[in-house]
Formats: sequence, structure tokens, C-alpha cells
Amino acid sequence: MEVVNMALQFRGAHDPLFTDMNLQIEKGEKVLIVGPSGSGKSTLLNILSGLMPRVIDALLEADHMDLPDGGAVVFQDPDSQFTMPTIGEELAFIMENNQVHIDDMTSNALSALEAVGLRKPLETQISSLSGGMKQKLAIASALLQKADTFFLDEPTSMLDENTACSLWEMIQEVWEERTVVIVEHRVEHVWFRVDRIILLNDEGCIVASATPSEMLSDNREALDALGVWHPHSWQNAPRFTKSTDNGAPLLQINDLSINRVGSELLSVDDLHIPKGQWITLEGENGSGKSSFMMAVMKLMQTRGEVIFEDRPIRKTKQFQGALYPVFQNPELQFITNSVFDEVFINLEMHHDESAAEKKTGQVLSRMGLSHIKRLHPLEISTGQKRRLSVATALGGIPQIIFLDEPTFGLDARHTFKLLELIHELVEDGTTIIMITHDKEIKERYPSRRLKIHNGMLEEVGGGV
Amino acid sequence: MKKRKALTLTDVLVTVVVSLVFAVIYSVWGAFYTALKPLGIHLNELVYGMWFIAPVVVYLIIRKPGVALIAEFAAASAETIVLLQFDVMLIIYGLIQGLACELVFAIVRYKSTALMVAVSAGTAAALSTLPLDWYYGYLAHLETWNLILMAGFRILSGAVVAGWLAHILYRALLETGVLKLLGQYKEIEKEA
Amino acid sequence: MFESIKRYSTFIDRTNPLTKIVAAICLFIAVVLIHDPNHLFHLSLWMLLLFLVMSGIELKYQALLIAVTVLTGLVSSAYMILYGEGDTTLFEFGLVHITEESIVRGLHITMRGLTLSFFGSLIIFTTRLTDVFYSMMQQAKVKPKYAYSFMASIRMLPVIVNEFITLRRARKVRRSLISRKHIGGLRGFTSTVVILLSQSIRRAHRLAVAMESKGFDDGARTYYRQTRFSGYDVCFIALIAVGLIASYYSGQWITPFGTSDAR
Repeated sequence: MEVVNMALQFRGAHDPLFTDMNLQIEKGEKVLIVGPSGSGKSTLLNILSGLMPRVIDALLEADHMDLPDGGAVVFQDPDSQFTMPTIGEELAFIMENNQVHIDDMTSNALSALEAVGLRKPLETQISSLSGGMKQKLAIASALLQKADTFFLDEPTSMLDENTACSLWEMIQEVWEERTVVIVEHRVEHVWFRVDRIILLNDEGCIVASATPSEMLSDNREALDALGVWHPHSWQNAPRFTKSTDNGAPLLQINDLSINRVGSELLSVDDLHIPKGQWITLEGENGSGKSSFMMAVMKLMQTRGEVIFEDRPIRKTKQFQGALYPVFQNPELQFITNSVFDEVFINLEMHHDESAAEKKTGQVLSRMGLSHIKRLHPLEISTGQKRRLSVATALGGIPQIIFLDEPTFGLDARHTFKLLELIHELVEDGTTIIMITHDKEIKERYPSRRLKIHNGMLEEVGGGV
Repeated sequence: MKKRKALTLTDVLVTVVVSLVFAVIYSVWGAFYTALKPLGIHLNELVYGMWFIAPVVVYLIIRKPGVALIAEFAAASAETIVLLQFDVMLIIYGLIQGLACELVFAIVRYKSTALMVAVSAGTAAALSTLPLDWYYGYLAHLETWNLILMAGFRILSGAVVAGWLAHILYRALLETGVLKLLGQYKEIEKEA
Repeated sequence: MFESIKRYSTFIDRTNPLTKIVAAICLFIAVVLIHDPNHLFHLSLWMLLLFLVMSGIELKYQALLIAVTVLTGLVSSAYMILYGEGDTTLFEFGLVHITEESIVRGLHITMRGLTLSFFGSLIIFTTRLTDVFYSMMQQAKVKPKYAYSFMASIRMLPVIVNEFITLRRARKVRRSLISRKHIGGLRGFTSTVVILLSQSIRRAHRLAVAMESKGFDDGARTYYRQTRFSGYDVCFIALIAVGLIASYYSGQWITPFGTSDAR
């Protein structure tokens, strides 16, 4: 696989994303492409897999391009890569495309499932699978494509730690002689499995290309400067002194019980949350972490008592913004059509116009969003959206901010930035409750850890 | 030019999915208006335009022959899936309304995104099924004032909801930048 | 889709979906042409019977569905009962003018709705959604591009519904913090729809890319689920045809309505 002097520009963009790109990948080589968000690593993968410009429109030029035809691609989002409702039909979809005879379909499908270790009947609804199983299904689909090249576009970015690790183990088992090109920002489990790592910078140029260990030894500074995850990234993570003091009691939850489709999902006997704590909430996928957030916010029907500052809370609006949730999909929280307005509408209620504008400016610059304040909130990157969503909380002067997996999908630079911001908020006396899967975050930062285990909310390690 | 006119897989998928979004919204908000039906003064007709807002919005963002028809078919089948009602009438009505929209769009040769085009398409769709209703619902045997009320509400709804509102939604969508995915760079520049 | 509430399956489960659709269209035309309320009364009973016996779903769901269908059917013809023309006045109050003729006409419209709804419910519970599209490709030669777009979009429906729910929750949180003008009325509606649309358009685009990367095109292909026409289709058509004809004759014997023309 080879590209020589390749240049790419999106239609309507002012500058090209890539210029003079040269890249060579040997047959059978396993390559990992890393880079900060916005460096175009997914775009590069789309070019190599032939999807761009054939399916995704863009202006592409090159002196020479030698690409494999019919490579198989695995994408990050399970919700937008499957076509059919059941496992069997989905796998059959690929075989139908390749005009496999109907008599061979079932046996082929079963052996592909066997290869990836997904032992489920063919009639299983895809929607009932966990994230990890869905990605296994995606790999099984790739195997059925009989391709000699695999392109993996952040296949584990939506999975938790253990699932991601076992998925990479499985992928390594099935990739055999194939050429494999991987784009991933969560690299700790794949770093040492590949032959070569390519590093892109913010301008979309290749700044380094080396074996995994050489990349770490020779290019450590470049990796850190670009804020790209690598196996030792956490050594550069911000360090704070954990606040141990117990502020005034804020929130009290008694005998809360959350039901889902008839059976009890989660019960919380007695939970006190004081001012100025950094709390993490952990638990397996589907254990009810997000539901807990919704229940405390009174956005969901539940039994039990929620008491805030000695007042029993029955409706969401009684919080008056003192308890503010940041959802996993920040898009769904936006209301206006500019980043500036999104914060401004909170402040205009408390200040006169010029003061509100000034304060909005301050909040935006604190969040590193000043340069994009005129853009539409749906247009900005995932990291920016998440910060904007925290910014909308600040307008209401919240006492507790509830964050649902805030570092999900962020590169190291943005993760650390967000952690610093959270620390500042905690210092100012805001309580943070943060749902997270990240082992490092759980171990480094919180002053208190909560965990959902067997349908009960528990303190981790004795707690406060 | 030839390439632009053929429907791609993306075009078809976007068309169907957009229609589904409207179907979901309609089944939530529409329930409220069904509650007004027993009064018999056709207040439910005021939201009737929501039924063919999808083809107009989809036309504005894709502008190719056939999308309005597919959108209406999708909206009708979404009803089947969301509310578990297989209603032949809805599907037949949907196809007629889709064809009415297509007719208006064909007249402007699938080029214009003007407000007037959207309003005309909405009105055309609203009018298109009145003949069928005439026979099915015995409209000839209705008190005249009631008949005028029904037809009036429906045409108003077609023009305002399916036409004017669809156009507002299209303009707002342009601002979000998502239509770049469908190759609408010029339109976005113009809007900005 | 309904395995959990199905008690048994019948030959209608094995009837080709296209046959059902064509039968549905014919039934619609027939229902519009029938003006004798007695005929229609018996026909709607026939459809009710078919639904009860052949759909194979649990009784409590059947009961629920029938209740909802009858209620919406009555509600949909309220305009005719209350404001229809007629000579034999039964009740008059302001604009409301109920006559014997308008009641018969209203009930006739209700029965049209019932006939189609009972038939529709029968189809819904005896048809696999994907088979509809498989048979459209195989027997009606619909291009795979259209059929698969529909099948793929159906998978997105729960995602859209979830987003809608979450969005409404998010707004509930922000509502108390901002001025109503940003979130109420037309502006609130527009921003809600635009967010849902833009999320879905992005997803549709990603899905199209994924499908094409898996080798999908409009060319030749094989089919995992084979659908074909068979004897079941003949039986099904016969069932509907018998209903149409028999209800005409039984409508002459047992006449709950005093007139044979609702007009």
C-alpha cells in the first residue's frame, strides 16, 4: 500500500487537510496511526480504505496511489455500522453483497462468530448486545468480507477498560497474515501489539514513524506536546492535592429505588453528599449509573427521597440549577445556535446585558472556547461540545455538577485540561459527581469513590 | 450534472431517517391533537401538515427527483412501526401526497429552495387527498360550514406547517453545518 | 418482533408480504365502494374474527388493541355524527345537529376504519418486517438501495426515540435557568427538531459509508431469506374474498341498520 505526494482538501474548506503526504505500508504489516483530535487520522484511514473520495466527497490528488481494493473497515459507533436487526441477517448482508450462495451462509456466519468468540444464536437482536459484543460482531463481519486488509477506526473508543483489552486480544488472534491499519486514541492495549506507529501532528503531517518501543523512547516529547495518548501519558497528568475537608451537607438521598422494565435496577439506602467533594461513580455498563443521575435530578419516575439543602425535592425545577447534569451526548443539551448564546442565556437572567456579555466572555475563555464563540454548537468538536456543556452549567452557579463520562473520546490534552478545570471547580467549593470508567481517573483524583455493585450503591475503600 | 441527479445510498438513507425523526415527533405531539377530535371541529387538521413536512424538508436538503415520494412512504411506514398500526389508508394517502409534492418540485426542476416552493408543495399535498376524503368520509353530506372549516384548516396547515415551518427548519439546519455531509457548501456560505 | 406475545402461528405468517399489501389495497378500494352499512357491519365482524383467530397473539393484547381501535374509530367520525346533514333530527344544540342519517353515516365511516384496522392488526402480527423488504426485492424487483435503506433505518428508530427523551429531559433541567423565549413556542420546537435531524443525518451518512464499505451496491446479490408465492397466498386471498362476498349476503339477512345506503 503506497501513497506519494497526496493532498486532500474538503470541499468548502479554506485550507487543505493534507499536503505532500507520503506513506508506505508493507503487506502484512500492522500499523497504528495516532494524532491529536483534528489531525485527520480518521480521514487518512478513509483514504487508505478507498472510501474517500469514492463514498465520502473530498478533493484528492496524488502522484501515485496504490491501495488495496476491498479492505474491510470496522467503525467506532456500533449504532451506525449495522444494517439489519439480527446477528444472522447482518452477517448475511455482507455475504449477500458478495453473492455467497444461500446454502453456505449459515455455516459461514457461525464460523465467523466462533472465530471472534461471540457465541450467540443467529436470531439474536443486535440491539440486545453489549458494546463489546457489537464490536465483536463488526470484526466477524470484517472476516466474512474475505479482505486481506483490515482498517480499524477507533474500534474500542466506546468500550470500557476490560472489554477493550479483551477485544484487542481477540483481534490479534484473528488478524493473521493480513495488513492491518488502525486509528485509535485509546492505545494502552494496542500499542505493543503493532509493528509500527505513525504520529500525525495538528497540521496533518507525519512527524514520526517508528516501532512501538522506539516511538516511546525517541518521540516521547512530540507525543506529549501533541497531547496524544500513549502508554505512559498519565505520568504527565496534572496532580492535585485531594481535598479532604468535609463541607456543609448539600444533598441527601434516602431509600431511593430505580426500576427498569418491572424489576429493580438500583437501590440507594442512604447517601449524603457534602459541599466541595470530588466523587467518582463507577459500575459496569447497564448497572444504572446514568439512571442514578436521572433519578437524583427527578427526570425519571422513582421511589424514595431526595433532599437538597433540607428541602425535599419533587420536581426538577426545584433545584433551580443548583444541581446540574452534563449528559454523555452534550448535543442534546444545546438550545441556541451559537456557542456564545449558549452561555449568555444563562447569565442574562442574573445580570444586565453588558455585564452578562462580559461574564460570558470570561466563562468561555476559562473553558478555552473563546475562539469559536460564533460557531454553531453542533459544529464544534466532541471535546469542545463537552466543555461547552460544562460552561452552560456555570451560568446557573451550580453547587453540584453531575458529569456522565466527561472524558469519553477525548485525547490526552483535552482530558487533562478538563481535569484541571474540574479541580478548579472543586477548589471553589463545587461538588463534582463524575461517572467514569477510567481506572487512572478513579485512582488519582476523587476524594470519594462510589460504586454500583449488584444493584446497590456502595462506597469504595471505606469512603469518607 | 448527471451524477448529481441519481439518488445515492446516502440520499435514500438520509431521506428515510429524516422522515422517521418527524414520525417520532409527530407521534408524541400528535397524540394531544387526537384528543381534540371528538369536538368534530377539525382542530386536528391544523397539525395535519406535519404529515408532509418530511418530503418538503428532504426536498430542500437533497433536491433530487423521488425523494419526496420516498419520504412520504417512509413517514407512513414509520407510523406502522412506531404505533404498531398497519394502516393501508395512510400509505395510499402518503403516496398521493408525495406525488403532489413531486409535481410542484418538478415544475421548478428540482432547483429552487425558495419559500414559495415549499409553501406550494405543502398546499398541494394538503389538497391532494381531499377528493379521496370526499368519498371515504362522505364530505358531501356534511354541513357546509363544517366542510369549509375542515378544508380551510387543512390547507392552512399544509401551507404553514409543511411549507413555512419546513423552510425555517431547513434554514436552521444549514446553520448547523451538517449539510456539508451532503455537499451543500454553496448554500451554507450563502446563509452565513 | 412479537415473539414474546405470540401464542401460535398460522398460515398467514407464511403468506407473502406482497400479497398482504395488495390485498390491503384491494380491501381499501372495496371499503370505499361499499355504501350498505349492513354489508360493512358484517365485513368488519369478519375482519375482527380473522384478527382474533389468525393473529395468534395473547388475548389481553387483542382485547387492548380492539378497545383502542374501536375508540379511535368512533372519535374519527365524530365530525359526521355531530355536524352531518340529515332530515330526522334527534338532537340539536347550537351548531351541533345530530340526525338519524348523520349517525348512520358516522357509524358507517367508523366501520370502514374498523374493517381496515382489524385487517391491519392481523397483518402487523403475522409479518416479519424484514420479510416485507426481502419480498419487495425478490418479487417486486425493488432496488436493494431502497429496501436496505428502510431496513437499516428501522434499527435507528429506538436511537431517535432515546435522543428525543434525553433532549426533553435536558430541557427540563435548563428551563428553570433561562428565559422562556429561548425554549418555548416555535423557537423551542425548531431547535428540538434541528438537533434531532442533524444527529440523525450524521448517523445516516456514517451508516451509508459503512454499508458501502461492506461491499453494498445496487447490483446482483443473493438473498438470505427467500420469499416466494405459494398456496398460502391463494388461501389468504380466498379468505378475504369470501369475507367480502359472504358479508354481502349475511348483510341482507341480519340488518342492524334500517337503511341499505349510508349516503
